[in-house]
Amino acid sequence: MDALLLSTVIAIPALGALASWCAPERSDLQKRITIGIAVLMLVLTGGLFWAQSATATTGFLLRERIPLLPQWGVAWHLGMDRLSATMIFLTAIVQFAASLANAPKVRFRAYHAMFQLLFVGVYGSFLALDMVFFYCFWEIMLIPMFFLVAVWGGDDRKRAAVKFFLYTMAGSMAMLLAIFLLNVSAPRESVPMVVRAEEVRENMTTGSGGEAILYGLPVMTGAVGGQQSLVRSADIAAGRKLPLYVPLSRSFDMLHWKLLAPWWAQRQIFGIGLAGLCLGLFFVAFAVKVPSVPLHAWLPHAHVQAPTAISVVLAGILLKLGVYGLIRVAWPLFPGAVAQAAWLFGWIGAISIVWGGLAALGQTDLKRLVAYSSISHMGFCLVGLASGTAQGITGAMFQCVSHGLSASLLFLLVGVIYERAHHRRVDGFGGLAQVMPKFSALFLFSAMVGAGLPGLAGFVGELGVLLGAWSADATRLAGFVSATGVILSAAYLLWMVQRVLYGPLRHPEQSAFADLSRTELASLLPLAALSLLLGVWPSLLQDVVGPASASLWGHMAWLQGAW
Amino acid sequence: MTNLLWLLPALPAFGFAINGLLALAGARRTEGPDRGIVGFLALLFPVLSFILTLVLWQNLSAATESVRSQSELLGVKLQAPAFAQTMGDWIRAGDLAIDFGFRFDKLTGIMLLFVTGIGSLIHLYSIGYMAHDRGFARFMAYLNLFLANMVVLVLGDGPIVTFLGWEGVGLCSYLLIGFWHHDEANGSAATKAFLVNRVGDLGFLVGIFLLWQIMGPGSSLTYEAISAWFRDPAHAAQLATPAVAALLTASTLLLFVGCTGKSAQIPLLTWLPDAMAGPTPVSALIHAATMVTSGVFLLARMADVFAMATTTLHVIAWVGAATAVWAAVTGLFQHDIKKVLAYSTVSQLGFMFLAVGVGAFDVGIFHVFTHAFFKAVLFLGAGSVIHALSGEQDIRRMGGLARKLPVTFAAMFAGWYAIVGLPFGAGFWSKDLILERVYVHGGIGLYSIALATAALTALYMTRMMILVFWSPSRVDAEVSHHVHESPLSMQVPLWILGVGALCVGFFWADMIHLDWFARQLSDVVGPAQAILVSGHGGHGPSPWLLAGFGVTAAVIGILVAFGLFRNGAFRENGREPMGTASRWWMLAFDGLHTVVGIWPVSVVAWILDNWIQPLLMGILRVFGWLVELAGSAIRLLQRSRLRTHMALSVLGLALLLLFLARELL
Repeated sequence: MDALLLSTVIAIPALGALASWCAPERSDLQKRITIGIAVLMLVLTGGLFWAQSATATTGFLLRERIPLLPQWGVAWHLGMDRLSATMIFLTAIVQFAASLANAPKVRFRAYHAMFQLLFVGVYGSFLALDMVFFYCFWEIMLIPMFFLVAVWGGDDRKRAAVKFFLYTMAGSMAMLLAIFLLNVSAPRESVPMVVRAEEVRENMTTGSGGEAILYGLPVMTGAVGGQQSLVRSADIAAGRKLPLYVPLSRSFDMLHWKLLAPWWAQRQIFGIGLAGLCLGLFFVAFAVKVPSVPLHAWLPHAHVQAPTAISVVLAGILLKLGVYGLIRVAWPLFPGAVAQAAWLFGWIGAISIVWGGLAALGQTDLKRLVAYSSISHMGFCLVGLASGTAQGITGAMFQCVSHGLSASLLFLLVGVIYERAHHRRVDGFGGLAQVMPKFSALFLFSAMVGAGLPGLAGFVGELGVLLGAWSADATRLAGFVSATGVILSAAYLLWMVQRVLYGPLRHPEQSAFADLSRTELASLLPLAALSLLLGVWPSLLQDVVGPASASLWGHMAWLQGAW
Repeated sequence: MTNLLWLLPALPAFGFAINGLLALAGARRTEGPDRGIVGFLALLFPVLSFILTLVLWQNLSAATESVRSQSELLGVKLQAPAFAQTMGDWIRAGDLAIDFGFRFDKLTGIMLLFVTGIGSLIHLYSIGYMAHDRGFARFMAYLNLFLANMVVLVLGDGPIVTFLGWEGVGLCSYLLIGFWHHDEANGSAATKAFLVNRVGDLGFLVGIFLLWQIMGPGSSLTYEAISAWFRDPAHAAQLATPAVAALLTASTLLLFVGCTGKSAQIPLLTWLPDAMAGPTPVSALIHAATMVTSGVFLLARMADVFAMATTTLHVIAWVGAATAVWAAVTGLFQHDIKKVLAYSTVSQLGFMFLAVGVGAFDVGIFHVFTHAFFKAVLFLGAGSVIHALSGEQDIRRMGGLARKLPVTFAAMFAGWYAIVGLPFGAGFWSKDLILERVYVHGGIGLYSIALATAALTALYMTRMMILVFWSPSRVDAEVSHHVHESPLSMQVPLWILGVGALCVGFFWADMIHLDWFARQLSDVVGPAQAILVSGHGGHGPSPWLLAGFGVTAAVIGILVAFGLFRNGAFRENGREPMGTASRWWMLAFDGLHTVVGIWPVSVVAWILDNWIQPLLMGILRVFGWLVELAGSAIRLLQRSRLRTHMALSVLGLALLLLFLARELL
């Protein structure tokens, strides 16, 4: 029954896209389908998240693997662990908020279909465990996104869409190359790999004969080339039979590739280390999405041109995919190379934080301002990951969620006044606090979430990241530089709040602005409530992502100790 | 009893929630929500919180007494009791585990007593003061939120929980400074306050982190654990190693940077005078009585840590002294009644840090306590004067108000009497304790600065009193028609606080051997002070003699003030000989912030904008050209025939395969 649950998660938005496309073009109908699908996803992913957080296992609660091209090692392999569960739940929350935001009035049948299709890619990327499908879903996101900006965007939409496309395409090419390189350098026949006992215990399934199966492969015991026998799952549960070996055959499976981490570390290609090369390629692919300086230039442009709902999805979810990719692929596959380059990643993150913050200070367009603040905030994720400490990685995961909430809030709110004023110039507003008290309260609240006020979600992630970065030798200095982001974020956000909300009502015609409508409140309040809830009660999320980061940290530390 | 601790912040937070919703619901109506209900609710919850504090204090005192008698009976020193409550785990990341917990001991109790007590009085006062303001409900909601955060600040059982309240009061301070947000200047002042505080808060965080590193990762970050760790003789050797000692100095200095932000000390003090843009009850509650003293509270809370960092204590003492004298001089040049009081607050805070710096944590807290009374009454009195004069704040256009506003005058006289340190007022006892400790443990240099500041304090405060109350009236004729005494809701707090300003000093009247206050704190800061004092030893001259010096300084200040400003005759509106110099003096630290803070940021931003950004764009452009070039080359090839294509493709494929085969096999 639950065998295809994860496929269902991907199938629902796909069906929704189909339904939107096929249904007659009546705006309320398309909108209803979009909202209905979002609610369905919210319930489904919420249930999955709850189920995942209720279990003790840190491994995959659900996994489905259907070999498709066995001779090439391609399989339809989906899995949900704590990280995936968190990300798809966040996706559904943002999807819900975005589907309530105002949709364009022209060609909306296509718009809604594209909107749904985008989520097929997002959910797929968060769940895929086979690199071929991961890559496919990654590309599926690209196409609707391109059209959503290019067709329904602002005046300069074409250029923005092309820019977005070129940057992300370049990143995808890097990823494709890395996948190709890894596939051809993978061992040709089964080689036994020593694995961490926890890894087996967390992700073990039991075969028909009671033998332990890890990621579809039997776990064995004994010395390499010597006597080997299958390990029974009861033995592992009892903590016996170590060290353990898993025979591997050629595949595109991320989890198999994760077991091969020591193998990658020893391989050379074109005279240089394979691990370093592929880490670099993957990093480029994911850093474009994060986005990190210097690969960030597409983001502000795309944000300014994109419709409100698309900006929300872009900032709230798509940027998280970059971080997700680093956590899921780059870090587990090449722990040694990551440790060597930690200082570099730390500095890239720190520079993104400072650069984004300084640039945000200088913006006159509200969306550009929030876009640069996203670059700055996402930099914290990179710094946390680079630190390679449990605090840093947990903080990075938490920061993904808190930024997903705060950035969605801010883009929705900017959309609210854009609806009314038809422009987004910072100096084109002023004194809105006198006219729109509810809007002002939420705007200030969202700014405070972004500024990392303790008691709100933003603080927990940043604190974890900074503590982690300061603790690790490689990222200490970068961590201190990153800390200035805390001051910068307060500066540009409060500056924005002051220009928009305070002072005399500079544009008298704005006195007629209506305060937030019910629909707007319905999209904003859940996000705001979650930001507050996660601030005062972060364990709700920490208890879920904490073991995930501990598991990654354990994997990396174990490999560095072993090799 | 213990499990009621959460109610202390929850009550005012609840008030905030209700009033906030009422304010939002009624915001677009001119009259807003019903003022009676809002005012009642806004006052009710702080008062409940105060009553609960009283009950808890009673219970704690009883528990302490029983423990004390037990330890005397058994002959062993038993741990002083404290109420603690853990609400649940809060932040978990790796080996860092922070619980959301509260701890109510004697230090927290004293802070809470006056925070909720004076807080309630100021809520009452605000009901009268803000009665005609359109944003009445919003104002009361913010005040309630502030109180909730302030309670969390002092009640937190560890530095990170304190930090929650610490930034929370900063937010409320921001909201209340910019309360009248239709005026651009108020918003700027609010933003400045928040940002300057953010700089300090970053110091706070890094300081805590270093402390955590010293104690060893994995250790618990509660005050109890921190104190225990630093009191433990087993760690003395570790603390004595140069590396750890340097780390400790860095950690404590950074924590102190956090304190300079919140408590407006050099160099992060520029925001406080600007913060006077907020309504006067805010200045009284947040920027005089409670929030700005958090820095002193934090140092006392972590006395066991600071006792090990003597270098930092020296820095604190000198920064405190320098701030005290700088602000006192600046206070002399102010024309705005609230600005005079603001600089006076900065100066008094300097005194508190001076006390802490010479190792007298309990005296510092005692001055926090007395200062809360006399500065609150001065601010509320000033508010009453401003209210009476329809918003006039310039002391050059006041004068002769003693007869017209008798209640206000009496209250402010009490406040003045206390702050200048005339015998037996509240300030007399606390300030003379500071002077005595500074003389004994701080040396003659610090003592003379402190004594000079005491004289200056008397000078600028008396100047203010003369110009407002005693000199001939310079009030505009139009305004003077409407001069009226404030409503009862504003007078009651004035009476109570005025009496307090005269009397609360007797809680620790050292010279006549009343030391109730010191005994309360002895369990908390006693061990730390014992370490510091044992190094110095020795006793100064008789306390009466030192008190005599202090009073003499005050009298000299008062006499000079009367000599200079007797008739209110001064050419303030004309050219001032000291004008330029005083402006330079006043804006010195704003200038410092510009040079150290704003210029570097601008320079970095300029370099990024003008050099790095074009460089990146250039690289991308070169990339683009290369692609274009490759495109043209390929176009050339494409002109040829199909056969060539095929051949080239096959050749390429073969080469690729060969290459890969060589590399990989």
